[in-house]
Amino acid sequence: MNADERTTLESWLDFYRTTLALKCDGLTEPQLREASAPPSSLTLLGLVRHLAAVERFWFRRVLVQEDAPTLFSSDPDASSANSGFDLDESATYEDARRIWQAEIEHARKNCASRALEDTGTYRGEPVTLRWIYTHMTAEYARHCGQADLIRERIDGSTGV
Amino acid sequence: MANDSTAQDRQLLHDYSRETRDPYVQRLLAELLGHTGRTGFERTAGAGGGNTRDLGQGQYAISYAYAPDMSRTDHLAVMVHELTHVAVGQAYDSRMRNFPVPPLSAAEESRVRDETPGREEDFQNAGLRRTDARRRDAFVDLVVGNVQRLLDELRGSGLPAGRQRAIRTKLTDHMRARPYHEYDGVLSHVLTWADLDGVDRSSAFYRSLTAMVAQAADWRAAGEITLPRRRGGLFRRMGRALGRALGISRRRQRR
Repeated sequence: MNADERTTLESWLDFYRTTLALKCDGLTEPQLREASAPPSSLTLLGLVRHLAAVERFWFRRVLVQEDAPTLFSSDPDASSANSGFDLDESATYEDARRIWQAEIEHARKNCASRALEDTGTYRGEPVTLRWIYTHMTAEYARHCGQADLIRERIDGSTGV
Repeated sequence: MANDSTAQDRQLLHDYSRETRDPYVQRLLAELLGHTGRTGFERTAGAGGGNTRDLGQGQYAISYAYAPDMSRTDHLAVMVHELTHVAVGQAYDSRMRNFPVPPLSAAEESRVRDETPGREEDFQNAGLRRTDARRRDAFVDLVVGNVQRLLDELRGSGLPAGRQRAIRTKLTDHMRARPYHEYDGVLSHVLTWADLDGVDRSSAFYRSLTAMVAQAADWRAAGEITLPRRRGGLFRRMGRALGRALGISRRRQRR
């Protein structure tokens, strides 16, 4: 609890990344596709896909201005705001997890060579890596809260 | 290549079991070597870790990414990790899931097969719904608490910085993210790294790691994971302490 700023930011983001994975562990494919908390249509599979898209958007498209198309969207230039939530028949957790983990690895590599003060560009304005880490932690924390409720409705689990 | 790999890999494991002076590694390898006869090893090209498949009839296939410049330490660690999945599968009759549950009925097997054909993990996971949520949560609490303890103590382990980074990733991305599948395997993996890379055996990290390894081995020997039943048990208190330390509020369970 006395780590430097960078370690603190990275550790909290990793904490929430693994919390989402933990919320999915031990469930079958139909359970991962289950919108268990109506009227919300959110699913655990949709959350994993969405956060894969969000990882790509912030750590690739914004931070390093990489021309990577938006995941799970018919519009390659769309923002990641609602990407991944809608599931078609072919969407599987195995695929989503693999893509998500690959995006996380890509994000870590892009961040490793940059300082917290380094900037990308978002809507024409500079945005620091520090801001992106903070935003991503907030993004994950919100969705992990949703995942917690969805998981409890599926099988009663309410882990950390 | 597979047969050659299997013979070479079994020999590597035997050599390591004779060489190591660590009693926890010796005990672990004594258990795991008992499963090499039911397991084939295959080396594949590319990057990444290992994978173990349950072939049925008590037979298993381990495949793992291999490169000629792979260090002996990493080579042994990945084999020990994957063989631990075999040991878990045999101990719990659980299709390698790291948590014992009653076997599926024929009807349930059929339903899972129809719902998601070819997804082996669904067979592993379908049984979890037959176990009490509090029991599952107690296991996850234990794993998360243990991961945090090891992360907290890692800095004083005496291990090289690069190895510490690898252990940190293994503990978070694998063990904490997939406790129902990776708990015992990652413990074995980290123990092998620690042994071969010269961990400080007087460190808190080593003491905690070996206590967890021994507990997991005891569970496998018993064929059952023994978790605290009372809400005030040690590991639940650890989980709560972790939550307090990190400022995480945990919802009350409605029961």
